[in-house]
Amino acid sequence: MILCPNCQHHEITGALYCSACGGQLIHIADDSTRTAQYKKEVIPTPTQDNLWPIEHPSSPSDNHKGLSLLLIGNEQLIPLAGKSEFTIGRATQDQEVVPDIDLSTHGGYDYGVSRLHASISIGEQITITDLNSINGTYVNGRKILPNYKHSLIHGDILALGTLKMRVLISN
Amino acid sequence: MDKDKNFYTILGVPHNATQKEIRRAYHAAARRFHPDVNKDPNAGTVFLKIQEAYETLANPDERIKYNKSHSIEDDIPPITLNIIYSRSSIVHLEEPQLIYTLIEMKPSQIYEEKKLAPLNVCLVLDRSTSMQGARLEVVKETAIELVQQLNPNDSLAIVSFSDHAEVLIPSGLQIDKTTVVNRIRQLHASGGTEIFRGLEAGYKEIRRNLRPSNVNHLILITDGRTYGDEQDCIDLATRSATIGIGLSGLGIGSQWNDVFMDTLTNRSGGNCTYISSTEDIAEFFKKEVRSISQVFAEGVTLDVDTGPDVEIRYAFRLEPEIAGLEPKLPIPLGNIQMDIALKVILEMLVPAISGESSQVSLAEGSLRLNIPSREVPLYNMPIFLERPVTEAPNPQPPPAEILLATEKITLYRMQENARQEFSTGDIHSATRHLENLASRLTSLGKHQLAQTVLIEAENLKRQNRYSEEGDKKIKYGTRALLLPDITDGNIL
Repeated sequence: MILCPNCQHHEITGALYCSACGGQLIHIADDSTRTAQYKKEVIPTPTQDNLWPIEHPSSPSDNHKGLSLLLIGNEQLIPLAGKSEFTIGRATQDQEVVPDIDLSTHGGYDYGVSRLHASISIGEQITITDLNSINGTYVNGRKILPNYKHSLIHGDILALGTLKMRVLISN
Repeated sequence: MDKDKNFYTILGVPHNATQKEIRRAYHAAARRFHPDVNKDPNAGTVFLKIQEAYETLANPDERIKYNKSHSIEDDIPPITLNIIYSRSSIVHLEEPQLIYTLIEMKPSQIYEEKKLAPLNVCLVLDRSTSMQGARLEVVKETAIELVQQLNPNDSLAIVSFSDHAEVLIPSGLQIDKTTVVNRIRQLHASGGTEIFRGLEAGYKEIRRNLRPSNVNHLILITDGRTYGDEQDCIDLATRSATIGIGLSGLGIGSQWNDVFMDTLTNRSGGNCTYISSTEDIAEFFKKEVRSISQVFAEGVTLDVDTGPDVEIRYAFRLEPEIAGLEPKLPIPLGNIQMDIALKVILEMLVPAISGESSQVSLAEGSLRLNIPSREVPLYNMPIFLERPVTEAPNPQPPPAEILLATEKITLYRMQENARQEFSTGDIHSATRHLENLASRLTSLGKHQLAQTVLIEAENLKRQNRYSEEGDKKIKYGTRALLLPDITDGNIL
């Protein structure tokens, strides 16, 4: 038997969600039992021209979707263009790998953004992957599973920790 | 030509080559050895050999026969199975545990270019008084559109019913389209709803053209409740499913009996759709006809024996159409489409593991299929569901696909539980479940559906009853959460 941490309902071992409250029962976010699965070699090395902000819009031959993030609160627009994979986080001085999109100037630290918080990939679908961030990544108020791709659609509200932004996708 | 050269080596393709690879290899070889190009005196013979090899391998049935007679591998199965589990092992425990199994079935690559089978379809249309006006008019217009789209090999029959049934268009007859259209136009609404009359006449029409090489399917469209003949309908649907006739249903508005329709369509693994507004009728038709015309295998049935004391507690189809399935073996699963795999998730209860067993057999048996385009349509595909036993649970989280699906299915089951509790008079639990469901939906961003659920919870508290419209909206709304990319408000 397992006990739902949310509503104390009993469930059979192996159940994934609580039948009474719908809450998730498996402890995916439990750091004590999980090793960091983030591999350094998959981090794209930032080069000079893909450091945010990137001004050049995608060329017309590029059939990838256009993606921007609109920070809620100060209404700043962050365009993501020029490549298909972006890491988001907060750059600090002695950090080896700097995220492609640095939110440190947007209060990233206070809002609980991790140094390498998430990655966004742009292809036929646009997906976000939480990179085991401390405070989690939320899509429309829902925490997403770390290390799994989660697809984003136009209008989604994305939150890294408590830093909220709207996903804007244009074709 | 060497004796030991088989058709595969002649074309230079592997035994598991796809149709595309075979065709490409053939074109390349034919170009090289065509007698007009190649002046080698043997080129003509080689060219003929290439021709012969291609003709056999390009035809899936011939290819299987050839493989058998030349003992090239075993029979290539017509479908590919992909099975994933929520956990990599069963844990050595002295108490029961659950494991989720996701089974994906799709056509094998050798069939990727196989032609589609002709349709043998019957529309059974409710023309009771309540259908009067926009509902019937839209149904009529959509049926006419459907008639226009048919291929010459397809057969479409149309039966209308109220408290009796009449055959508008008999099955298999080549009536000219103008006559058909006129007959549909003349349809008018009057009378009660006796579904059995309609079904009986509809199945009779389909049976005229019943062949395993056709896709045999009945589509029932109703907006009302049938009284007293429910069991007859279910028996008829069960019998018809065993002879290979699929059934899907469309319920319009809030008055029809969704529990009955679900049971009815479940017998053949068909699906039941709810629409609240008449505008969606055309879309349902389009989707339904498209999915029937893409059928690769129909009447797919999971016919297995579960391991000792293992129980299938819940079965749910994720694709091509979402549906709760009755977990009673054998389980009709539905159709495998050419372009969309059939995906089913099973929740299995495994008993306490005693002694030293190192392996647990969850289920063993076969998938029964009818593949209309095959020379021998009936096919049994063996299936084994088993897991090793380990002392400690694997720390790996379950596969994302299972996690995502079970999350939404949990919500669907919460509304099922609430309905169940309501029917046994446990209003308190029913209300609590609905409130929990609403808060889950809110956290998923489904505000409109959450609102509908909250209103029903209020209804239950104050008036001790469900509204007929609300409970359908909740049921089909939570079910639709499993659809990809649905944004809030799209479905209701």
